[in-house]
Amino acid sequence: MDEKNVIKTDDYKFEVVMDKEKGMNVPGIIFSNDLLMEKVLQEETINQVINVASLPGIVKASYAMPDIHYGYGFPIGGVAAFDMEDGIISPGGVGFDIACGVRILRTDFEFSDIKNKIAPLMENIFRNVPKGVGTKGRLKLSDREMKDIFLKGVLWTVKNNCGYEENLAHIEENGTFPDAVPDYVSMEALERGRDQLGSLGSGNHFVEIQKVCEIFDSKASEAMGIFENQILIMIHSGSRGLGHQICSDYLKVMQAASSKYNISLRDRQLACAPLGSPEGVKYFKAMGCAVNFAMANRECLSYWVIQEFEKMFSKSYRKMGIGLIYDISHNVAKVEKHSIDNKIKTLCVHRKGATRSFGPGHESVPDDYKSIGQPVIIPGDMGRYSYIMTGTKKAMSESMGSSCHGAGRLLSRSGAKRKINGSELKKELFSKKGIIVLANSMAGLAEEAPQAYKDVAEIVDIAENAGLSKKVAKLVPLGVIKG
Amino acid sequence: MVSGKNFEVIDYTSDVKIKAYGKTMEELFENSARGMFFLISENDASDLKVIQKISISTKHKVTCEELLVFWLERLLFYHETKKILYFNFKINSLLLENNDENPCSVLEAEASGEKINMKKHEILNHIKGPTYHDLKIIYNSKSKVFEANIIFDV
Repeated sequence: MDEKNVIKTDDYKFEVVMDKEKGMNVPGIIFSNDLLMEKVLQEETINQVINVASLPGIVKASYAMPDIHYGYGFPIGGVAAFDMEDGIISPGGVGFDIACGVRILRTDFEFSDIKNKIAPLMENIFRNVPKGVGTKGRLKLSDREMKDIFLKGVLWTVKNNCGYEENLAHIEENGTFPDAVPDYVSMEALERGRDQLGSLGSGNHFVEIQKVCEIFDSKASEAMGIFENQILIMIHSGSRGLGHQICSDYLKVMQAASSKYNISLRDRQLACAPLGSPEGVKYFKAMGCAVNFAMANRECLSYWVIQEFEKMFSKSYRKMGIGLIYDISHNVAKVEKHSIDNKIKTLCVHRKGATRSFGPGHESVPDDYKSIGQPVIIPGDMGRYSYIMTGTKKAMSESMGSSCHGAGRLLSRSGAKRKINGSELKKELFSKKGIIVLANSMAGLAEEAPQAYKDVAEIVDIAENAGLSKKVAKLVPLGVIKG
Repeated sequence: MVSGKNFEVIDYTSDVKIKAYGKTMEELFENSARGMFFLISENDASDLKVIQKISISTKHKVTCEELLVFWLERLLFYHETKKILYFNFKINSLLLENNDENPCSVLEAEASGEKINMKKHEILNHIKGPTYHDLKIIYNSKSKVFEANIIFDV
């Protein structure tokens, strides 16, 4: 560790000492433990933390959450806040899948109520929920409708009979990201997203039916309406081709902008522009359109999943107690107020593979969660478990109000495919754990095998021990749909 | 080229990576596209009825790496919006003109493929985009080929 100048500052925190010769403007801070830190050092992920620390106007530190792993540009799990006056915005700090995120819905069902219906329910959801390229979207939207979604987000789904009004309060920004300008989105981006609203995508995106297997915090679980053995629904998806194209479009713009504003880059994927520059403003507002699209996408997806519940049980969603616990985006840049050296400053916080983790009392936390903090949803892998946590006040001072977003990969996709057979994995998950897995591609399934991921329990424990978020409930998968 | 390979898939933890080869820059671009579509679907070409002409021109200075990214992005766009799997690629013209007065770079190409049919094709990866991370086209004077490492977000 010495050669990289990494110091362990407490049990779950490591500091990459600021080195001006490496161009660092701030230190790096990595939340981890000794074992996982070895892997971080092997992968040279530290260099990506250092590269981010060298960007102009970065405030306090270049942070990495416990699920940090090697990405491109920013590390996955990277968090960086930039001063609005002399800081930058970078599409590489958000990623291609703008506002990729997770939502979790509650039901009144206990496992015993529906255990014989899970298999047909999963089959129906699999059949009726569009997945990736090649599957037909359920909606074909006009330019005008697309632009309306860019502006209104989840509100559009409510007005167009594919979303629920009562969900709005449980979505970040109440489902509408305010800084969105459709004119800054290219026609190519609009075209890529046109038939993708309410579609899952592929890779690590999923719909899961889960069971609550353990409660850690009774006050928080009560506030969220969670109890042991309860059936929950988790959905992981993002802004689909629309967000991917906006990222591609603005990476081009930012390559030129970086030279124009004399920003020296240690990695071209970190291309950026000053926050107040025309290029920076346009990216932020185009990104806002993708955030609205992503939130609307997850709302549509859950609407269609709920319809399958309604058909299967011949009851309305209200009668089944189905409602949104919370929806978060874990690839996004947001303008937030943070206390820096006892002064409130407005900053642009980039989170790439990191979840906002605002604590109790924060103005952005919905009223019914105000006393417990914002729900932080941490999906694990399809064979083990996922977690619900809550944000903490400590996260505000430790990590710009951020925590982890998942388990983080252990094996490369090609490595996983060499070691694991998708069809055998599917059989094994069912025979050993009773988990029903449905996927279009068995090779794609192998890439997402539990063995390809770190144990999310370890990640979540680091997050809790470091004070970034607090465990509320542990969930196990019963049925999994992969895109 | 390594044992006559057009490209190879390289292990990369979070995303996917290929190393593409080409005796000429044009061939490198064609093989990069082959590599990208191999990541998307390992199916073999059978019926290349759909032909897509691709034309990219810029009026500002670009590097060959940037032009490679633009080419792959454009193919991804057609793949996703027209739902086509492309298998064959032909670069007809590749010109990089980066002089100060009148920079102008042009790529003219053709890609052929077939409409995605879920009964026949297996889509392995939904590629979000090619990245600029560690992207560098080099000429390997020993093996006398151009090489490029390309990381894709999936």
